[in-house]
Amino acid sequence: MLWLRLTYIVLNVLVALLLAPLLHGIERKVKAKVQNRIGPPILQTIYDLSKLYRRAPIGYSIASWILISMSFSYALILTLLVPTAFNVSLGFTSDLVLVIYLLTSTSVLMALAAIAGASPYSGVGSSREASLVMAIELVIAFIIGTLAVSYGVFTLPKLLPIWDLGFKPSVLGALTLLAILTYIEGLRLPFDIPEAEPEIASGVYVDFSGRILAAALHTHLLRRLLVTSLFIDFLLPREWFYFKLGGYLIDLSIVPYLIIMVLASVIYAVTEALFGRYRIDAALKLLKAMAIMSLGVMVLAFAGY
Amino acid sequence: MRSQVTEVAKKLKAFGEVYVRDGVVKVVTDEDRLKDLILYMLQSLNARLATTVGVDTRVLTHNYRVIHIFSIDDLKIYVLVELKVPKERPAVRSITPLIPGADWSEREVRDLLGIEFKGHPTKEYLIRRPKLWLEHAYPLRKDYPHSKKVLVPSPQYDIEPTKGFSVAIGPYHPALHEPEHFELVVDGERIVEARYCGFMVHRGIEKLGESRLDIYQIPFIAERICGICGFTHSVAYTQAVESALGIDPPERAKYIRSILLEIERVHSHLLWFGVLFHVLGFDTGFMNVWRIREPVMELAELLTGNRKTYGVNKVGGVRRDIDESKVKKVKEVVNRVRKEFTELIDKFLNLSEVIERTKGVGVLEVSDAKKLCVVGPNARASSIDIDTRRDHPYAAYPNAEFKVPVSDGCDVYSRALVRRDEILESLSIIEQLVSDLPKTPLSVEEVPFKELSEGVGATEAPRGENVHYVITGRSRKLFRWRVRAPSYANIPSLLYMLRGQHLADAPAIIASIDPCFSCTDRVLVINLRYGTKRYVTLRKLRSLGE
Amino acid sequence: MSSVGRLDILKKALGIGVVTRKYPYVRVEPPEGFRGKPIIDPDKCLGCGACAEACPPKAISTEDSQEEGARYVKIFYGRCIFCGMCADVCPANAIELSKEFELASKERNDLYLVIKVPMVKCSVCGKYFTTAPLLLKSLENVPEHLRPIMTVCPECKSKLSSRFTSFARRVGS
Repeated sequence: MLWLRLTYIVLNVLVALLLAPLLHGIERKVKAKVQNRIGPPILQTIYDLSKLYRRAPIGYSIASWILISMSFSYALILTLLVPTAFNVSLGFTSDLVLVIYLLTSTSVLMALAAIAGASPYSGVGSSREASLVMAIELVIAFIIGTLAVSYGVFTLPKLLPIWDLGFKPSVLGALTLLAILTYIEGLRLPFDIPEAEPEIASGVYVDFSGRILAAALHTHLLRRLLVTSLFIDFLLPREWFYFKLGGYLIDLSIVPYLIIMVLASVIYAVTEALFGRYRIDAALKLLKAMAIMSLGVMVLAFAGY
Repeated sequence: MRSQVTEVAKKLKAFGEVYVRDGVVKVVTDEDRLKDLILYMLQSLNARLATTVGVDTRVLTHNYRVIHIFSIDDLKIYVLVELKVPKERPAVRSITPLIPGADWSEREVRDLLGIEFKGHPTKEYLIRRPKLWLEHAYPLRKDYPHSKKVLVPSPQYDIEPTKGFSVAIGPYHPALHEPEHFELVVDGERIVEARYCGFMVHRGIEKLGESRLDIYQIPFIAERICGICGFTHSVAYTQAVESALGIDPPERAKYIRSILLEIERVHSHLLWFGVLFHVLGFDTGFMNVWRIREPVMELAELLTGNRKTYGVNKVGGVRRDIDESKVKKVKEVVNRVRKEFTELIDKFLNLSEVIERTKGVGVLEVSDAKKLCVVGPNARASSIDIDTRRDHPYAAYPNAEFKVPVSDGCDVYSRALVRRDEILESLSIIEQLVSDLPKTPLSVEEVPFKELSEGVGATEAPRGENVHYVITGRSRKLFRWRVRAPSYANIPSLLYMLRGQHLADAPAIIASIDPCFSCTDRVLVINLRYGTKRYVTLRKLRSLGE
Repeated sequence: MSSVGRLDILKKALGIGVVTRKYPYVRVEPPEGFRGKPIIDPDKCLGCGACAEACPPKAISTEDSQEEGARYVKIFYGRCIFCGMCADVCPANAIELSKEFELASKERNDLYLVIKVPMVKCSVCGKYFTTAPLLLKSLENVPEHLRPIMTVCPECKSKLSSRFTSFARRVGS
């Protein structure tokens, strides 16, 4: 049913847009409790974003505006390609190339937008973000590459979920790395270097305000959601949650999806609360190690394992 | 002690007229013998420069005076080296070439009193701003009214940026709690050079102390010099005045002062740990340490009526008592803090990311620390074993047993370890003193006034040796009041610590010396208004590329 | 190993729970002896002005009004440093530092406490020269036969007594 499929796709996008800040709110609350505080309400990030969206940006450069808008649009396109709430997407043959490209670009565009800022802090934040992103995306590329090579397909819908395709050692290795990476990808402590508030006064974000800041933050949160969703998609047997109701196929996999996302947020938040920030060189060293491991896993995949 | 004072006095007779009073030795010398005297003091007496004071004594003796205050820590003596400076074109020889630590104090005297220091290595101003101040405004001179502003009608920002790509930390920066300006010239992520422009929070305290307030009201303003360590300033001041007037406060007052001083040290060091963890991105550590600190604040509120501004000090004693019921509460809080602190602090300090960012970071070599006359935990973390509580015992410290923690790591990590140990020692001191409060009155009955009498009062503030120097004036007022807060001596060492370090470590290094800019900038009233030119200049520099 | 330390930190945190309070939705009561807003009891205040003398930031001031025959004692909380010197020196124990600390206001007038103390008129020249409570207090130490002269202001009193002494000398000589 085309209209049903389209509805699910639209809902996917909307859920992603709302869920991203909601999960962030949950993370803030959980982190607060670990720090013996009350913490902000769970809806706080949604409140913050809605306030920022209503305000006009101040003293911005056109370059920032264009680049952030592009970044945000790329994130939106990704919500069409990576299933979130419901098991539908606009996926097409060899769309993994696009997925990797979009994932990397959202961050690179953010870093570029930051350079357009007038403050030296945004410049420093931008250079740190660029370094980190390159390292992280390299690992993601290798991971996705491993999966593609293992199963001989470069199309995302065909890879979901992995259960149907059978597990291989290289795939297990890739998925383990991906699990860790979903945490790091979100630039959570100890990797929140580009926006380190005490050090460089919010780095990447310091020059954004109003709607531009809202879009930048929203993009960042959407990326977190999307990478975690990707990981869940690889493992969640969504078809178990299909129900037939009067000829229509109702997809209830949104339920386990939400439950797992919330659980993941809690785990992330607790972990984040127990770490201090890494310095950029230490972070890069760790990511280099991960990149080598993921490359090794990909070699395994090529070798047939 | 008496004999050591006379010994030193005899040895110094060769350099000028020597006076001794109340354990303080004063040598009035002249420019010709100055260099020999300083060298003698440094080499044979192992003296350390505390500060340099400039006084406008033209109404008394038709000249200015410059006084260098030295501490001979091993002999527990303060030595004042006084020089007369002529009224017309006032100038005197600088001692900075011999003691780099005198740099700031001499520049301050130059900026605020107009006394030239011959041979001083730099002409750069410390406090005075050429484009912002009136040409011949010397605020600490007696003929300059305290209510008169020093700014020109339309002040213009004038800090020239240094060559190369520079990152400015300040005047407003989330890492810092007070406005100051660090300009770090970076090459990639490495700091090549650091510059400091401070003195933006002047409130005219020294001038106010001479004009608007009488000696009994000054403890209140002294307490407000610092937002964390106010009480130590209040005590140092009252001790200086008590020394000048020849008053000895009753024992119970001394005990209460010491107890409150140690409570202040505990809360200050805990605050510092919180700040350190926050700057390292470890907010959970920050929250936990401050959670542990909260009972200390509540204890202070119970004992004095306020969490931070205790207001219990007065010349001659204290205003409030610690009675039996409060003693019990003090012991409870001490035990609780000790337990919770020891449970968590080592876990926090052993986290790999904390160690990686503090060990070997912000190193201050022992020789540099000595040259710059650094004090407090910063000195002790660079192997310099000085502590005013032991070296110049005051209040009730002679009655308490405590260790002075020293480390030879010279880095941020060592400073953390030193402060950790100091917290535990302070808790022990509080316990000892509060169990043993002598039954005497809380203050002296009468405070006899003596005109034109000098006094030195020093305490070990949480940040180091805090020296107050007073000259009493006429009719219950002060003639001169000089505050040398410990951060004044410590901040110049930052420029050594920052070189060659990672940019990301800069806030941690700055935080590691526990800088208290309010303490440092308390000399004069300045209201700086920054034009937008600043960001234009930095932007232009940045566009020149990395 | 630091990961064990991390788990311990977590365990401890969960054991303690939340320590922050939802102030200002929750009342916070300061301890006894807390130095809050100084309040003058109008019934006890003598209008002597000792508090104004002692106040380090000069937050307390007195002002006499001849039209109303009253002395105003004003505390401006904007300058007050809550040191309590006023309470220490007050001879009538009329000032007390309360536990109130929530003093912020949008109206400057809220920051003033004004006490009105009635004054006494000189029976000769009609000028108001001292406050009623001060006069009553000093009467305690004045013998009966001299009390009538207490309602005379210092200038008139010196004029009167000079008349008496010169008269006495004239009579004597």
